[in-house]
Amino acid sequence: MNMKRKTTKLFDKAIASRALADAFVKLDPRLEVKNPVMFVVFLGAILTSIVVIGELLAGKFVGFNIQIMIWLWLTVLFANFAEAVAEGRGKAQADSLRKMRTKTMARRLVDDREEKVTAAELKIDDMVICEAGDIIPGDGEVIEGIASVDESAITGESAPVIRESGGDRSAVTSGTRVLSDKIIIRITSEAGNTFLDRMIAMVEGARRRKTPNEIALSILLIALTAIFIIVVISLLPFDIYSEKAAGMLAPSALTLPILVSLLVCLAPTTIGGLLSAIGISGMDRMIQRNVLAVSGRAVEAAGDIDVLLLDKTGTITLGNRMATEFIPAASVNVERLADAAQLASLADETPEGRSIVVLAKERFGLRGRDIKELQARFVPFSAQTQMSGVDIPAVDGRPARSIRKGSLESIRKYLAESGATDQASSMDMNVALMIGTDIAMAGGTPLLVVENLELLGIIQLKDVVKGGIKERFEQLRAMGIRTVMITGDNPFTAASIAAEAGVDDFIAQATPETKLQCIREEQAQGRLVAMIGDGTNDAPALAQADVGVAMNSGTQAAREAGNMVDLDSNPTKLIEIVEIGKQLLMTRGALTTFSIANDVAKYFAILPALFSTLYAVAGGVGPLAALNIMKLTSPQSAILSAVIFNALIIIALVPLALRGIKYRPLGANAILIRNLMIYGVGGFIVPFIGIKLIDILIVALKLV
Amino acid sequence: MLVFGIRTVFIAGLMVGRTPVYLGKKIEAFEVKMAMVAVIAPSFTILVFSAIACMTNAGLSSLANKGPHGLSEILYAFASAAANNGSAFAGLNGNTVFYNMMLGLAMLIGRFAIIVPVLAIAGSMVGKKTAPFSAGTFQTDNVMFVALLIAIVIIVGALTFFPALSLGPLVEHLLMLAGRGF
Repeated sequence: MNMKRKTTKLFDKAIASRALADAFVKLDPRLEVKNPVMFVVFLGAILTSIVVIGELLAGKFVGFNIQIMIWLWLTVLFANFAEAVAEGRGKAQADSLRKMRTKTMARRLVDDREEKVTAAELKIDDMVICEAGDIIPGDGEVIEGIASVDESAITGESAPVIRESGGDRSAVTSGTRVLSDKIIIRITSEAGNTFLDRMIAMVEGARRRKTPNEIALSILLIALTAIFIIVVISLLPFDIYSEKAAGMLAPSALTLPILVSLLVCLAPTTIGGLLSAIGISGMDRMIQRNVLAVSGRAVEAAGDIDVLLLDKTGTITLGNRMATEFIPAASVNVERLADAAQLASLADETPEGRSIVVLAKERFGLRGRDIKELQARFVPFSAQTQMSGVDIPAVDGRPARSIRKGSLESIRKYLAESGATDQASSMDMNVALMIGTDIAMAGGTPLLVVENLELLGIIQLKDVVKGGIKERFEQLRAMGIRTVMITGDNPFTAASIAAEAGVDDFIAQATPETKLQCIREEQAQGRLVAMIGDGTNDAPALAQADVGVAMNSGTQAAREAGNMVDLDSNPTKLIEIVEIGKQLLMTRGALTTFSIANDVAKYFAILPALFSTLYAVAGGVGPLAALNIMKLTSPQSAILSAVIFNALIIIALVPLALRGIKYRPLGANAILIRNLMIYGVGGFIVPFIGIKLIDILIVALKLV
Repeated sequence: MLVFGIRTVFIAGLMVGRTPVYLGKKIEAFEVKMAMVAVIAPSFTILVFSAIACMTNAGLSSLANKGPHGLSEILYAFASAAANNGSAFAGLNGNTVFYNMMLGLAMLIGRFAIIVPVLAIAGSMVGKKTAPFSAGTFQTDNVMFVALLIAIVIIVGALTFFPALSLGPLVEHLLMLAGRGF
């Protein structure tokens, strides 16, 4: 299955026909009662049906009441359909995911022997072997080997990814396929609770709970409905009083179907019918962008974000810092620097390390040497020393070499601690500091190389700011979101890149603790913080942030800590996530406004119709007919038009509910004015036109 | 007014794409619930009590005027009582057991069913963190908000009372223009 190519059409034929059937299934009162506004309509439809059946049994055929009944049921069905369409799109995805979760066989390692078991039998901490062609049976961590893995089943991305033991790319997901090589995986989650299972549960909406805003809005809608119930019920005595006063002897014009029609038209059915569809589709839009949210609450929180913490690497810059220049110290030959730098980088599998090896090869024809032959011992990079390097023992008459490369700070500390502070080297160090600072100011990263405590020179690493990123940050600023760049770089490099990218603030030389600290500080001031990360050391910060987005390529710990997982592992996705969250809230607000504004026109349609004969002089119309400003043909056509309009507007707005209203990165007031104009004023005017048109149409069709 | 303000903030705040914030405090389910209690209570009192008055002899016997003006008198008496004003048209004899009881009850509800929820809102808001102001925050101190608040008060208020009023003062006015009285 390829998620990238999945239907973007709003009404897929299969989904629509399934939703049509579901709309009837949802007539189950136990399901209807979950949506109080529509439940009122549902009860109204039942009451009207009872009246109509009673009439039919009595041999009376009242076409008007029958039509009202039909349209009331259609209103309920339309709302059910809207919800079913939204759910259907998730279900279709869940089905194809489930197909993938076949009965995979796993090759479990027990005391170095292999045994075949089904994936369901795997327990946490079991070891399994996967070779080229095998499907990975469970979520886990690579503990040995490196392999290319096809994760298209989960991400829709066809290019294989590398998964290797150690580091930040060790997590593997069940259901993905090993394309080459052999890896040993330690299982980290039991069957039924894997990433794939959670994903299926997610898209099916099985665990869908109402979000805080949804609950608050539901309360508002229930209260509005309650008010209108009071209005409609109290209207009956007022009407009876008035009819008596007017000396009318005939039974009240307010029959039950008419009162129900009035209530249904006034109740906020538009938003009530579409509310759950909006929520589900918000989640769906996340999934379409290959983001998996743990809960709807997280999606909603994304809309409220005040501060975005972005890792510099990969988000703001293209990521891989590349070596671009060797700058030797005054007394050093540049080839010697390149040679030492290359040796120190041979075992360094980071893109930076590789780029140093490549640059040395390109510039000076230096080839990578056999590490084993040199009996070299590599010193891996550690967060404490901020250095990496190599120690080569004296073999075959060659002198021993001890090469280190690292940042300005770390090398200076290294040299000072090693006692190598004679005049020459401290002079070299000062020059290096100046050059290094220059490089940093220009947005590069200086990497110092020392051999046997002698400063050889500087490698210049450069990182490129992504195109168009500045514009995105400007948009975020307009939305009222502050962007903070986090980087392990020194303050100079950080400042220069921050200025180039146009972020509001930056934190240089950040450690996992400073990230966590920073998030706590912002939260203490009442701000909501979003952060994106992939490494295990990001996990605490991801858990602390209000919206924590973990990269799918990241470690299992990071994926567990965040409340969203980006399957594409694309850090700029955070901006889209915020937009979807905002869109979700805005769509609800806009449709609520629309729904309430609609009521004005409905009053002008129904009230004159109800009371047109009140206080009428024989043969003429009553004074309240003056309220019939739409000049609707007859009382019956007016009421029916209003009910039909009320039902049709739900269907008409389904695409809007599913797609969400357009989001523009503007300030709050600009957005408010814009939406008020469209959904407030528009919601006021549209029903006048719509009801009038329906009135003309049903009169032309002689339905009343 | 405050409860209408909260309602306005909630609807408008959603439209801006954020959890609604008023005076730096988030408006959540509890605040909305309390605000709605404070809105429903007086509406309920005015409409239902008036309806009871219209249906009972005790309610109708106090009327000096027939026709729509009589309905206006009843509605006014209850609206005024619920708003803790307590006046009534001269045409309505308020000093009967029925009206003393009902108007008194209306007054109690109109007072405490508003005071208590509003205090509850205040109590809940005190405990909340103040959200900092940003360009994405919906402002509640400008002309825009005032206009919106007025619009919401008029529309929601009108939607609640329009049917009843149309049978009372409105039709009375139209009849008067037509030169007919009761």
